[in-house]
Amino acid sequence: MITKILHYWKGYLKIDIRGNALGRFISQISDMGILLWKIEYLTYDNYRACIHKDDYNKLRPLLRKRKCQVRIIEKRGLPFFLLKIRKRLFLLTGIILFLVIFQLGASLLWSCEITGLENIEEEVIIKALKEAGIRKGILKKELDLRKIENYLLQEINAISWIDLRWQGTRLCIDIVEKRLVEPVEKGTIVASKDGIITKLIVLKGQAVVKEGDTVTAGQLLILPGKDGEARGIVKAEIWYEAVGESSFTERVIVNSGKQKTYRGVKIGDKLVQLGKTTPPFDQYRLKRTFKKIFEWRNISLPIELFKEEYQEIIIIEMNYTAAGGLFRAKEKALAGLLSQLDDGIIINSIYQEVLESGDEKIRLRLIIKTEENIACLKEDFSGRN
Amino acid sequence: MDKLKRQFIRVFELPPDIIMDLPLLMLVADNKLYLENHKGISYFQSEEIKIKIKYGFIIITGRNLSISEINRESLAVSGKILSITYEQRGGDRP
Repeated sequence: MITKILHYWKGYLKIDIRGNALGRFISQISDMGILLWKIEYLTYDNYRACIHKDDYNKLRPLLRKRKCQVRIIEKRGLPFFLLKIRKRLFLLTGIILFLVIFQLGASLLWSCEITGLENIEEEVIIKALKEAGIRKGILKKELDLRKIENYLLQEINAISWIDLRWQGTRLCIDIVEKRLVEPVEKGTIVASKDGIITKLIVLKGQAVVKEGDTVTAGQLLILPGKDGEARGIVKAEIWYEAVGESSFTERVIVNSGKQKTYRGVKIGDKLVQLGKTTPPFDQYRLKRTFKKIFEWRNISLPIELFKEEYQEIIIIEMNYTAAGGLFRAKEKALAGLLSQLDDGIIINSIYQEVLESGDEKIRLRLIIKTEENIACLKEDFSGRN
Repeated sequence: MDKLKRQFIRVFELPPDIIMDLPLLMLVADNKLYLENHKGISYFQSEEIKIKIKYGFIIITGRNLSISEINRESLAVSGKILSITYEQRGGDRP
């Protein structure tokens, strides 16, 4: 490999050697310290070999003496290649010109892309960019992106974060807008739920109820002041109740663990079972899964394989003690209660009341007491509740 | 003189190919042969190459033989090598 590169670098000739006793001729050449390689035998008086470009002229005295003929067949290597290129000056200048233009084109700004705009008009940004000195065809090197970022942040108030970066010849601008706090809406404050008011703090407006009052949902709590705004915190005690019921005996389905699988073929709408067709258990749970044999795009054969999994089940009658039944009834009631509550509400206390307690079943009522903010802004107050 | 040289080599355990200018062959499988200390080519064909060495010839037969490199001291033969023969002529065997 290295010798090949060396030969290419120095430049070499493929020569045809003609004459008598060529073996000795080659020996003489090598004796002169000239390197020959790839010597091929063509006929007894015709050999082909490779020789370095500079060594070729050294052969001349020997050729005169020996009456041998040497003819160049091919010129190879870098020196010859350069010579060829020199002849094609225009091609070379074309290539160089292309590279220069390419490099120049790649170092200019060609387009802008703005992302992340929601409320700000794109034209506002573009105008600000122009003021910052960005225009089409400007050299990328001349722009200091960090400076432009700062300029835009100063100029446009609604931007909270901006990032400029290059993507080839395109300038990508990422913008995050400021979220402006919405002004307080005008209206009155009404109760969102029924309850007894425990705490009433009026921030704006005038209260029409006082602590200890019982209010119903939708009742007016705070009237707006002169500027039409009403704000306040109204905490109230609220009750939730639910009834839970549980019988002392219950049927429970239990898997026995036994399982059998049958397979079959479904042709059209007809099920053809392979092997046994009767269910293997008295009481069972059946799971049937289908699998299409051939499916491609929306073409499919009307034949499907199916699998039937029979799981044996045992039905057990369970008897609860009085305490167990009570617990289950409470659990059911609590589940019903919790579904009524909003997230993040603190439960103050829980009461329970047994409504019915017989031999067969138990019923109880569960009441929970919470304290929550029931202040709710009702817009567009027209004077009526 | 040669006798003296041989004695010298034996005593100092030197490589004889360097001191005595004797041929050194290296064969890679059957397709490449390197030969150092040759005295020129006396005959070259694609089936047979006869290389002059000190005290004789080395004859290589094969198919598609070519001399892939030759300079003053060494040469390399490539192609399918079938046999290598040593032919002694003149002088004492080392």
